[in-house]
Amino acid sequence: MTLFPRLSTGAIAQYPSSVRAETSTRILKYIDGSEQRFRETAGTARFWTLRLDQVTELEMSAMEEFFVAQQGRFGQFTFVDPFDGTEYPNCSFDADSIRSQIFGEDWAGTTLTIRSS
Amino acid sequence: MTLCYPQLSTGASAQFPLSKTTSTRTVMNRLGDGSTIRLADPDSGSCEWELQYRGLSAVERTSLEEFFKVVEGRLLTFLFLDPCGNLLAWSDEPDRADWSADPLLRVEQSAGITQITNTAQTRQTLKQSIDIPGWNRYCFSGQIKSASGSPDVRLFLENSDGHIETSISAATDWQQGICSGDLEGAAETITCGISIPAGAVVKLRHLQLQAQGSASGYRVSTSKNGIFRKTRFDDDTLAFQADGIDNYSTLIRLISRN
Repeated sequence: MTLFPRLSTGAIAQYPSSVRAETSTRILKYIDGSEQRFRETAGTARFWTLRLDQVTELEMSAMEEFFVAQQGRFGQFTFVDPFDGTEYPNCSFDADSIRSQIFGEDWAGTTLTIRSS
Repeated sequence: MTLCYPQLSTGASAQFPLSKTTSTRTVMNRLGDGSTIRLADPDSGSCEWELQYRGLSAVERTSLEEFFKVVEGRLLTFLFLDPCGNLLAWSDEPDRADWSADPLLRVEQSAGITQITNTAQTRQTLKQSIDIPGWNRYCFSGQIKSASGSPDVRLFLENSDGHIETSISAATDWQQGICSGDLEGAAETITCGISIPAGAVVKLRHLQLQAQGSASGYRVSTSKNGIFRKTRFDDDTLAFQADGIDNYSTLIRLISRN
């Protein structure tokens, strides 16, 4: 499976970036205050928000090419958690668009969210 | 004459900062167990640009306004040369059909580096012709080196109305070569290329053509390059703010199908 591209330094992300775990629980509350809870999805999804504020135009174009090759949310790839190095297969982009900002000469940035299945 | 988004007096079509959003579309069904069924919609991709301008002169403001009037806001589409893009096709693979090499020029490509060898008795050329307005200001750039002999490598821009070239003596380390300028006339094509003398062996990388006066950071291109032929304004209003005498600012949004 395709690997998420690294920057020229070998890093996956820059600071600050974040990770979150997400479940989905439906809660029904009753008049007596009690609750009935059930899972809406199986398992816990993991999301990484990668802020890339200082990349070169070459790195930015590589990221855009990868996004287009994955066709946004459609494609799946292996993502290496930048915080602990764990490989997560079957990850995908969490959006169908990528916004690149060009701040100056050979200075670009973007924010991406990756989701594990 | 092709309707093409105008350049500013500097030859650039945008200023820093600018942003570009590339979008695709995926139809997604999420099932009860959390799994998903996905269907890609490759024909609905688009690109959007947000171009912030400051310090525009009255002449530049008029040029943008006149263009806006000609295309009647969102009504008509036009050619837009992506300021974030490389106008060449297959910039890292000059052995592709989009490039043309003279018969006695051997072209070998590996891992983004191209070696060209001139086996003829005269200069030989590697070039690419693109159907974009030849009268714009362009910058053709690339990195060049040669193991020996310091060959005289020439980068050029040309069309039926003229020819510009610059010369660089290739050294053993990578050096940036730049050929920049505008050609008068109404030609609807621009050709950029590199010529090397007889017997020379030269390595090239980071070949880039941009619609501006000087070279930006390198962006690799494949079959998709920075040429968008069906771009339109994303707004039926174009407003300028006067920040001073002969000093205007505005925000323009453009959208194009991929």
